[in-house]
Parts: sequence; C-alpha cells; structure tokens
Amino acid sequence: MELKQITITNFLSYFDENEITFSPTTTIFIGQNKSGKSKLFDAINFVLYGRIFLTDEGENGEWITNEKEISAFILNNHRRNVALKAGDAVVNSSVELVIDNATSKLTITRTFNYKLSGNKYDFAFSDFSVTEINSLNGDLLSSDIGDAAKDKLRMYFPESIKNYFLFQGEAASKIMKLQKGGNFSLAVKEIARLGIFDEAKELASYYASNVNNRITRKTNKSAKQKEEQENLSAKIEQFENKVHEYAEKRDKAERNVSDYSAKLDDLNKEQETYKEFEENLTQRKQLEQNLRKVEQDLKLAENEQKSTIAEESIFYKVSKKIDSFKDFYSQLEAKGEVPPSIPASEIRKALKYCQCTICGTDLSEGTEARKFAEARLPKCDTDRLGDYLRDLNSTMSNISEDIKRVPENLQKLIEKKHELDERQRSLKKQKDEAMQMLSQIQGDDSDSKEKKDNIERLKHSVRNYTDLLDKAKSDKSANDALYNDYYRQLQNLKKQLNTMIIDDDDIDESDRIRHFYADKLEAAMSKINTLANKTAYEEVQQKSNEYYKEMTKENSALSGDIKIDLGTSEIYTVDEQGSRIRNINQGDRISIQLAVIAGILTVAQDQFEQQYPFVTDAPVSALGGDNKLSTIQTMINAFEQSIIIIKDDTSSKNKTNDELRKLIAESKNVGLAYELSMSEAEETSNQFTVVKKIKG
Amino acid sequence: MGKLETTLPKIVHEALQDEDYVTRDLVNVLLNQIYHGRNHARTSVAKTLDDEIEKLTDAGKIDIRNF
Repeated sequence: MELKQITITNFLSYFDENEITFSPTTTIFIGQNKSGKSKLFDAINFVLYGRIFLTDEGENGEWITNEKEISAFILNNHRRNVALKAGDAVVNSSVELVIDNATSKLTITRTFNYKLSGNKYDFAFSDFSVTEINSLNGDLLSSDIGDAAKDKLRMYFPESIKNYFLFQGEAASKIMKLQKGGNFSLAVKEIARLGIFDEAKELASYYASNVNNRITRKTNKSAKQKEEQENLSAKIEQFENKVHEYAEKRDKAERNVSDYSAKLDDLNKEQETYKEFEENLTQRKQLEQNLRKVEQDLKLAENEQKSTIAEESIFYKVSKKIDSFKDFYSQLEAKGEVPPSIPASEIRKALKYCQCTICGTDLSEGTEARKFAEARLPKCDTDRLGDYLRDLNSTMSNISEDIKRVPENLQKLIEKKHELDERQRSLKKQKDEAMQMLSQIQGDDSDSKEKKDNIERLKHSVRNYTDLLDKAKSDKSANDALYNDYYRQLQNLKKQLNTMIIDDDDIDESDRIRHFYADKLEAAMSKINTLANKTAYEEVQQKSNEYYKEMTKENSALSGDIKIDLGTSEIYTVDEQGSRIRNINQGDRISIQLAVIAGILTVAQDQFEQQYPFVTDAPVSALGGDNKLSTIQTMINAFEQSIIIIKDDTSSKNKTNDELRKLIAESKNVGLAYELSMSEAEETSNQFTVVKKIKG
Repeated sequence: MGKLETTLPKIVHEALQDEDYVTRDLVNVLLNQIYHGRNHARTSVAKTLDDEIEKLTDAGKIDIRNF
C-alpha cells in the first residue's frame, strides 16, 4: 500500500488545487509554524477517515468527525473571499488521494460542497467516492460512492489502524497512553486479526453452553417426564385395580342373576305342582266368599222387608187417629167452639186505655165492645187452648198429606217385598249351588295344611329370590357401567403413557459425546486464543525491540528493552536486570511509541501482506538534540514508506535543523522533500500555503 | 488473504498438540467455519459442530464405550 499522490483543493490553508506527489520511500515536509504542515496531515485524515485534528491555542486538540463541525473549518478562507467577490453560487473544498495497491490503483475523493447564502457560504452536502482501476491495463474495477465507498475503503484502511499509520504526535500520545496500554491491545488484536480467535472462542463457549443447556433441558424434561410417567403408571395401576374390581363385581352379579333365575325357575316349577290345589283353594275361597255375601244379602233383604212393613203399619195406624182429630176440630170450629186467640194482658191493656190495641175499637165505659171484652177476660186460659188446637190442626193437616201417600207406598212396598222374596229365593238357590260345589271341590283334605304351608313357603322364596334377582341385575348393570367407565379411562391413560414413552428423549450417548467434546472444544479454543494473543503481542514486542535497539544504537540516552504486559497491555521498558525503568523522559516516550508503532505496522504488514505507509505529524517536536535526528532516522529506516512532517527551525539558526536538512539531502531513503510556507498577503485571511519541492 | 492462513495452523498445532483427534478436528471445523464460512450465526455454527460430532461418531472416530 503506497500513497502516490494527494490533491488538496481549497482545504484549510490550501488555496486552489495543490498536487503533491509522495515518494515510495520517505517524503519529508518541513515548514515553520502555521505554514500548513498539520493541515497536510489533516488532509490525509480527512480523505481517508473523514476527520480533522483541531488544536486550540494551548496546543491541546481533539479529533472532529462530525461533518457539520468539520464544514465550519475546512473551506479555505482565501477561496471564500475570492468566490464571494466573484459572486460564485457554489464553492467546494476537497481532497483526493491516490493509492497504489500493487495490482490496482485507488482514487479516494472527499468533497464538501458549499452554496452562497447572502454574504456567506453554507455547507450544502458532501460527496465521497472510491474508484479502483487495474494498475496493469487501466480498466475500471469498481466505482463506489457514499456508504459503499466507505465500505470499500475500510477493506484497505481499517479503523483499527488509523492511529498508527496516521501518527499525530500529540494525539497519538493521548491515544497510546503508554503507561496504560490504551487502545493498543485492541489495535494489536485487530491488526493481528485475533478477532477470529476471539470469535472462535466465543462460539466454542456458546456451543458448550448450548449443549449443556440442551442436556439440562432434556434432564429436566426427562425428570419431569419420569415423574409424570410414574404418576401416570400409578394412576394406571389404580385404574387397573378398579377395572378388575368392577369386573369381578359385575361377574359376581351376573353369576347371581344366573343363580337366582335358576332358583326362581325351580321354585316356579315347584309352584306349578300346587297349581291345581291352589286353584281349587282359590275357587273354594271365592265360593265361600260368595256364599257369605249371599247370606249377608239375604239377611239384609229380610230385615229391610220387615222394618219397612212395620214402619208403614205404624203410619197407617197414626193416620186413622189424625183423621179422627181433624173431624173433631172441624166440628168445634163449625160451632165456634174454638176459642179466639186474644191474650189476657192485651185485653187488660185495652180496657185500661178504653181502646183495642189491635183494631182500635172504642172500649169506653158502657159500650158493647167493652162489655164483650170484659166478658172475655175470665176466659183467657180457654183461649190459649184454642191456640193449641189451631196449631195441632195445622200440623195434622201437613201430616195427613204424607199419610195420604201411605197406601201408595204400601203398594210399592208390597212390590218390593215381592222383589225381595224373589231375590231371597235366588240367593238361597245360589247358596245351595255354592254349597253343592263346595262339597264337590277337593282341597280341604287332611294334607291341605301342609300343602298350604308349602305354597306359602314357595311364595316367600319366590319373593326373596325375585328381590335378589332384581338386586343382582341392578348390581350387574351398575358394575358394568363402572367397569366400562374405568376401562375407557384406563385405555386413555395407557395411550397417554405410550405417547409419553415415544416422546421421551432421555440423555443418550450422543448427548454425552457432544457434552464431552463441546467442553474440550471450549477449552481448546480458549488455549488457542491465549496463544494467538501471546504470539501477536510477542511479535509486536519483538519487532518493537528491534526498532528500539536501532534507536538506542543512535542514541545512548535510550536504553533497556520494551516490554508489553499481556494482562494489562501496558508498555514499558526494563533494564538489563529486568527491572522496570521508572524515570523515562518525554523523548524516551516518543521513541518507545515509535518503536511500538513500527512493530505494530510491521506485524500488520506481515499479517495482511500489505504495506502501510507511516504518516506522522510533529512526532519529534518534543524532542531535542540528538534524539530528534536519531528518531527521524529510525522512522526512515523502519518503514517502507513514510511521510514525515517536521517543524522547520531554520530561522532560529539551530544546529539541529541544519543537521535535518543535511539528513534530507544525504539520505538515500528520503525520495522527496517539500518545504511549506505561507504566501505573502496583506490580510492573514488571504494567505495560503505554498508548497515548494526541495528534493526529488 | 494474508499471513493468517499460514500462521493459523502453526498456532493451532502448537495449542492442540496434546489434544485428541476429535477435538483437533472440531477446532479446525470451527475455525474454517469462521474463516471461510459465510454464516457465523451461533445456531448455524452449533449445527455444524453437532453434525461433525455425529459424522465422527458414525465414522468410528469416537470410542462410544467411554460414554
């Protein structure tokens, strides 16, 4: 990887187009303060990583990566002034870098576009492109813009190494944080491509835990299944017992049904033998009952006949007496012998008030009416008899109405008597017949009691066995239902158990094999990762020491060996006894940093089989005396291509500076050298960097 | 691309010199999967390793009597 050429246009202190070619070996830029040295370094950072290093007045600084922030700084002031004066609508600030990558040539361009807005230029948008052409035939291999271009570029310039091949003295010191390792370990890891081992270790670890988890899951599942299986088996056993129990009960009930049916058949057959006897008995009983009924009816009929006739006879006799009384009363009435019905109290009251209380007749003294009333007064008791007679006559009249119907009733009674006589005759006939039949019916012989007892016994047995049979049938039905219910449930449980057995994937041999080798793989990958890291660090350490030794040859002030602590990634130097050198000055620090950076880049070159240029800005500004030259010499020797930007101290007439110019002039490895200065202009804002080639 | 392809076997060989055939094989399968394989998904890698172990078992490279 070789930086061929950079074209800086209207970027920071660079006005218009500045085409600068790099040497395949070493290119040195010298310039006094504020001549555009750091702006050149910024241009390379800007085009490759989209960043600039912003320093404040105290010379502290920081990297800026935000486009908007960058846009506020990078447009060249002189260009802005010229464009404003000309009224240009659009103005650009850009950097183009050409890189030779053995078989292809990359052209990387980053442009910031500004548009006129009032009397100023506002940032509008940015462009980024990467074009790759075949170095041999000039064919276009690819042309990408935007994110695709960034991806393309990262294939060649990964983020991890940007601080190492683009080495900014101040910034690198901060990033490296020599005593703490800083990003160094990450850089070594990425440069040595240890990421592959990290990933492999992580994947092996994942695989081990994955296998372990699978087995744990299986074990848990298996334990759970076993428990479920055991529960199910216990339940099945329970149900099997139930099924067995109800099958037995059902069978027993069935046997009972059969036994009781047979017994009942026997009993019925035995009963058959008594059938004729029993029928005779029944018939006899019926006849006896009929006879009793007939006799009873006969008796009732006789009684009825007797009472009715007696009653009617009494009536007849009474009617004669009534008729006699009525005749007598009629005669008395005709004669006026029936006394009037006037009570003595009323007569006395009428006499007292001289007026009848009933009809109002005047009863004054001397009147006929009063005489009549006074005559009736002593006869008042007779008058009460009159009342009785009238009542009696009235009652007798009513009775006589009934009496009048007595002959008719008697006629009816006579007719009824004939009927009763007829019925009596019929009943007597029936009785005779029944008696006759009874005499003909057998069953009242000497052994009838025994037979009757037998029949009773049989009937009792039949009732018992019928009850037993009914119960046995009921039991059979109930037990059969329970049996079927339990049997069905049992089948379901068995089916469930069978399914469970099929699903059961207990830990098997293959699981154990996987578990064993997953653990071994994890341990092996961990070992490999450690070894790879160690190898990479050792390589870096070895290369760093090689460069450091070269520096110590040139500079007696530098001594010891560089050590890298693998645990903390800390970098330090040790003396010949292996003791850590504590007191190292700034110059030593820079030298150690450069040696380590050279080591890292060498390892990266070995690893990627790709050479990285070493671009550094003011790496030795903090150094003085021989340290500066020996360090520059190291850089020239260590890197295949280096671009070194150094402060020019000519004005101070410093001897060292003369030595630097001498080194530039004499060193065969320094292919090109440029001197940077600012143009003459009245206003500072119109000054710009002038690039002058001083070698090559 | 790069020196890794030559460095890798050296480092792996050194780290695995006392390991058995199966572990060495699995390490190589895993590294190749990462280095050359397109799919670095964990599940995919786990499947590859599962398959490899099964293949080695079938090929009689693993003494199953030990398990």
